[in-house]
Amino acid sequence: MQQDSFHVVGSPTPRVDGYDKVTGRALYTDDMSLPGMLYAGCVHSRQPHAIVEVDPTPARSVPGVVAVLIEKDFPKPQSRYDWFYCTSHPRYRGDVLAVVAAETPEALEEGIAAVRVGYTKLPAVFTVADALSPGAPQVRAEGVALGEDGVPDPERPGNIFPASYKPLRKGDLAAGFAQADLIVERTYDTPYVEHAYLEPESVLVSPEGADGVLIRASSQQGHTPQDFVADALQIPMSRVRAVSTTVGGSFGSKLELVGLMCGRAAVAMSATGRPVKMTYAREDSILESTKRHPFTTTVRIGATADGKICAYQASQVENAGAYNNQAPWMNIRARVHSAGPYDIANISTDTYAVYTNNTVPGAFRGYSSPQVIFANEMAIDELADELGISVVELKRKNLLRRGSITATGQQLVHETLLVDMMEDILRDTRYEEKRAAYAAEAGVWRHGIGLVTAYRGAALGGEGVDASGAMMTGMQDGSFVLRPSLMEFGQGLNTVYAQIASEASGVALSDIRLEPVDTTVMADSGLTVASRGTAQGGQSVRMAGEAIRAMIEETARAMLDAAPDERIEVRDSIAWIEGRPDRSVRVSDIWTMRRYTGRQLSTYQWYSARPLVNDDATGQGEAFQTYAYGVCVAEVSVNTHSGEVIVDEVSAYHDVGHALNPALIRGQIYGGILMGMGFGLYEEYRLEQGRSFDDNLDAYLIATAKDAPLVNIRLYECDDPEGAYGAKSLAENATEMIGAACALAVKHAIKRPVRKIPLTPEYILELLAQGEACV
Amino acid sequence: MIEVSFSVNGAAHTLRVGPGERLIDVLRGRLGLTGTKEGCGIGVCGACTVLVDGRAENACLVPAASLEGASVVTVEGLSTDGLDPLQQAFLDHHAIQCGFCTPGLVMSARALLDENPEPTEEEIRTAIRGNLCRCTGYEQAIAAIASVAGTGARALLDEQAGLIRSSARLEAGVPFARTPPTSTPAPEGGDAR
Ligand code: FES
Ligand code: FES
Repeated sequence: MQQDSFHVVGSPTPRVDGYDKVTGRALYTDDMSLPGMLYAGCVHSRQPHAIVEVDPTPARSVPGVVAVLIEKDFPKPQSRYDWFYCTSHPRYRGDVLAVVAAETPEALEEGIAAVRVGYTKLPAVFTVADALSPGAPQVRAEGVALGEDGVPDPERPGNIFPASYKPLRKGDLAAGFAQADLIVERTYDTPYVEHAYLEPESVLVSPEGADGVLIRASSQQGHTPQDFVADALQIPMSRVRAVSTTVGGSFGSKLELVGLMCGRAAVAMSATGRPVKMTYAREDSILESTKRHPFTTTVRIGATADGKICAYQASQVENAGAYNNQAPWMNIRARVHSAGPYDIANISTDTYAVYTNNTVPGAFRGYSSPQVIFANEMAIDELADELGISVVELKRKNLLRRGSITATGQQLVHETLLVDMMEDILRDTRYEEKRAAYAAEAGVWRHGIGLVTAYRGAALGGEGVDASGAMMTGMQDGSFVLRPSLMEFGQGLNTVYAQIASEASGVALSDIRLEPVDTTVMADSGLTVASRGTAQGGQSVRMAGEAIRAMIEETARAMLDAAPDERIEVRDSIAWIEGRPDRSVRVSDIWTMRRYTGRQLSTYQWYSARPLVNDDATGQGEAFQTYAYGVCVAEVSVNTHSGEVIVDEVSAYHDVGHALNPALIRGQIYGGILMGMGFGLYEEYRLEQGRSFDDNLDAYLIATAKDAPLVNIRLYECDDPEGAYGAKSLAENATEMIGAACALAVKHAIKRPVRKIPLTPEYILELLAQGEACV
Repeated sequence: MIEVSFSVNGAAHTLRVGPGERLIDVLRGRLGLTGTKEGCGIGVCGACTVLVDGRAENACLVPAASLEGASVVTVEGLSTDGLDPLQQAFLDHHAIQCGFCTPGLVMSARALLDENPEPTEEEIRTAIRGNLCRCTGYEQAIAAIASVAGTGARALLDEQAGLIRSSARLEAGVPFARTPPTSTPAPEGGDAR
């Protein structure tokens, strides 16, 4: 990759959607209205597990109420994503019992209040421990129990979600432990976390033509609303069209719930023949949207006295809630990364999800990695404490390097910067000096510093099929339309796509217009997840740009009478003969020529990532095409009287492969740091008997501008051939290390082992009262 | 229902409003000014921030019935005559991601600069602390506001420091990966560089 030869990628290009957003002109779903449109909403269960009788009659007589739908009005009450559109057997508080559609928002509110629900309570179970205990009520018929060997047994009924079980087996665990001079075993817990995107979910479904349906929705995915609506109405997908809109943040969550809302609105549309908009209030959003999976992780590590880790065993158990559509895929990533970025010969880990009558967790930025990194890094730190050596020394001995074999048996063949990045951040933050100085503190305020080292499989890898399409069409005036198939929902993907298309084609950035994802135009290219949009999704955009460049060159060659040995250059929508700027032609003239000579004016390209082979029984194989490396240092002040924590400074160093838009990357990192701090220190969606009082942003607190620490960012580039123009992943990497780094810093400040997050003031005071000091 | 007369972005309106009707309902539902967003409905997210008689207010908390004689400015009213310098600064400093918080943030910043044209970074943080943003981490928005004010902010310094970038190519002569390279298999099906 010749860095210097790039003209568009690598620059901090302003966002292509910035003008519309800063002027308030960008239309989010709830900003749109249609003539004759009804307002719809849902009646949610007030019991975590019950059989209900729903009486819609009183609601139907509320003036302005047009339809009240209950389970029997749905052609197919259960979606093909496990959750129900509408049910009379709620399995958590959040299941929908009725859907109301009305002429006005006021009538809707009255109608929802008038729906009568009679509950017959059923036994429910909420914690993983209770759900796994013998005799626990079985939440889902497909659930299984653990066998004698600690592995889920398909023959025994229980609460483990069988498809979520992902074992990892490498080397010989018993032999590894036999080599150990010291074995440390610890258990760590992480909470439910709310995504808290600023835009609550909204969908607008309307009749299109004689028998079609048009969907506009605040969806993280362009195509899944189509899938849900065809499923809910039981009609062919070809009759359902979804066109993406501006989405106000998602972070993994605007998938299942938005799809279900589309299905419910579609059934209401079909019952009334009118367009239906369903916009959730924040309370409904928090009640029914997915959360981060809480993990309970037990780690057992064996090491030699000089700090070489020789065996690693873990069980990573998640609360799956009442339905679950994500754990089978998320746990592939949780398995791959279960032993951390360390070179360990003998590993055995088990990862699985457990059904309960709690809120349903789903994908959340990181997709298990913040939870896995927390447990892994805390355990490594406690191992260093027990060994009496510095954790830095321990890391130097065990971190992955180029040529190392990962937990899945994959050799790291590309540049592996991890150790170098760690040495840099240690030097830049004066980590070891501060660590020693803080240890001597005795005042009310204590300081702490924590270091996290991490690696992350870039893009989807073995979690799924990483393929995508892109289309680019030129007009005779030289303007172009680019149609991607993955979604812009705030992360900046369309800006990077415009840059990639411009770089690849030679068409000026200002001549490329991005269009929404439209299911009638673009084929389903899978989910916009796994930080794959740029690195892998960008490949089809690059190919589309390259195909356009080839067309430009072909016609320029003819128009400029180029000799066979003369090369055509294209940049900023001008083509010329290399070294002869006087012999040039504009792309607009080229495209006019092509238009009138019957040449191809458009291209559709498909990219499928290099296939990977993995064995699901052992987790062994090439888990990802490549990995992105990160190191993070957090520095905190802790008030030992009040338990208050202030994050003073966070240094986040990321290997990004190639920074296609450094300003967007910086934005991702700033935002990711605040989200990660919340995970480590104060964010928790608290559930008691399946019920939460954290129902709006006054109870569930996220970081404000006052909470932001001083941030030091450093980006590393390297030669890695796997992603578009050498890009790796970043969006999830930006948040995954921060919670663990804050927890390590607090551990250091208060000299107490930390086994659980968030580190709220109450929990910190509890730890201080225990007086169990550590290094 | 009572009748109230007030102005929005300079245009006079006389409307009959109900007791539960809020300013945000009037703006979004009746005047079609959808630039003002609703993120929480209880006055904690700031997505609905507008100027009422020059003060930043949460439109979800302002009863429409209280608007008699008021002058309201929304994000749409900032850019009638080209972009407000703050809007331009938000673009230039990459202060926008999903954009849902952006109109509210810009309005809070406008109210701040109208009252205090040269705020310190701390004053900027205080002025926007009622505007929640889940995407950006605020730094680039603070840099944008500080750039208009001509005052400093730490994120501005980062920008002026240029790209924070290290690589084998850019750090002259110092190879980053110190382990010897192993042979790299060519990726199939794509990389045509
Ligand atoms: S919607 Fe008004 S403050 Fe959140
Ligand atoms: S840009 Fe998304 S909430 Fe601020």
